[in-house]
Amino acid sequence: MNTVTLNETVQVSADASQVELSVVVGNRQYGTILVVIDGNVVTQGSIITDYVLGSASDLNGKQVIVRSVVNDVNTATNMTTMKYTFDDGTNTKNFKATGEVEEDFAMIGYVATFTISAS
Amino acid sequence: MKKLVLLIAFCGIFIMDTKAQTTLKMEPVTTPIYTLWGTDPSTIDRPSTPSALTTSLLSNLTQGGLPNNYAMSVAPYWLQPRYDLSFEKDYGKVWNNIRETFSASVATNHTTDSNALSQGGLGFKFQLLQGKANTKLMDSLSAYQTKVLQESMKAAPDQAKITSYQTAAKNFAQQLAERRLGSIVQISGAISADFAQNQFTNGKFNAFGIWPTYTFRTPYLDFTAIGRVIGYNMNDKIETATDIGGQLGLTYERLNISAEYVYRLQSNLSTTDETTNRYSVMIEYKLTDNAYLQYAFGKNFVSPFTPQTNLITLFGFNLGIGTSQQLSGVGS
Repeated sequence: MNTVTLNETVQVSADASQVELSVVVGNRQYGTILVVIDGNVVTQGSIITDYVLGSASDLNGKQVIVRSVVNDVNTATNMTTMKYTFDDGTNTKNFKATGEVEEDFAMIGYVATFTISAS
Repeated sequence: MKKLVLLIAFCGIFIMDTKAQTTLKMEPVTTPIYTLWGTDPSTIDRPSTPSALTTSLLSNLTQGGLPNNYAMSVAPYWLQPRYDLSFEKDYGKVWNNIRETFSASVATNHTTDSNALSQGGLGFKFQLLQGKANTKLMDSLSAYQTKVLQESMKAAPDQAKITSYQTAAKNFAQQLAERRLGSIVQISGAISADFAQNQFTNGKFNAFGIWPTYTFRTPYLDFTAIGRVIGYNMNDKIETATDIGGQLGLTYERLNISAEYVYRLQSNLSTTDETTNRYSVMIEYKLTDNAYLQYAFGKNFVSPFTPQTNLITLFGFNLGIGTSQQLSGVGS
């Protein structure tokens, strides 16, 4: 199984009362997403919409790990895409990744590690 | 000839330009153009979403004329990533269906009758209704994807278990992709021209058509109905043939079996046969993602263009060429 890795630092406003995460499996493909903080799965689903991770002060220095697997269910393309969006109420930051499955209908993994920096 | 060279050059540039987003697939191309020529073992095209960029094998390229029996199709919407387009977003809206399933195609053919013509054609198709995803399959796929993730997160993952979950997930993914259930409405169209003596300047409009196909799909069966009018150039005068027909198809894993019947009114075309019909049975087995074994047998229309041949018989093996995968992660 192909795996795409992403390591990013996310700058958020230090006074943000809540930081939200959204994750979309694009290209009309189908996947399952797990969001892990401090080794615990905090939410999961085929799409994550505006999930509140916590306040900026709580998250500062922590890693948010988003693990996903996606199967190719679009006969038009073997490309899969992921979009991760962090919103601190003031700014929105997007991170994107793409990967192609090894063969039709196969699975691909994504491991995205985001280090939160509040400043 | 210059126009042909320009066309091929354009296709080459197009492929290079889009290489970062998609991979050229080598596999049999289904195009409405074949319906005009009657060269397909099936005259009723079962609804399918084409790959972003597909071509048949290039083994028959010829010098100084149209490539021999070549086809290529492109679904332009999928040439770039659609990051916000989740599996269920705006699902079923007609405009989305059209833009996501639209494909254009080009094809060439050399007739084997005494006329020995080179033919070139342009075609398109899109779906107004795509059917609905099987929600039971989505739940099953989610369950196995979750198992893969949970096993992968363990301190000592069991690779055998992961492989077994991946295999199960792939089977569900294939059914989810290929078997949208319910009503599917596809619009197809094509136009073709003859090129006598392989000369572009001898090009002459040959036929055109545009037609709807309605399919009702269950998990294993397809019931398809078609009504079609094709216009033929008969000595610089457009004459029409009208087709009405249906097809019953069975799909089970990698096996497809279909039987079809089409009744044709062609009083404008032929002085001897005002009506004719066509019936055939086709069996297709998908050996791998790019290799297909096909067998077809039946009776074709009695055609005023090729009256000496109306037997449909085909035993074919289509083999594609493997592709390499692309991976990238970008922060912005």
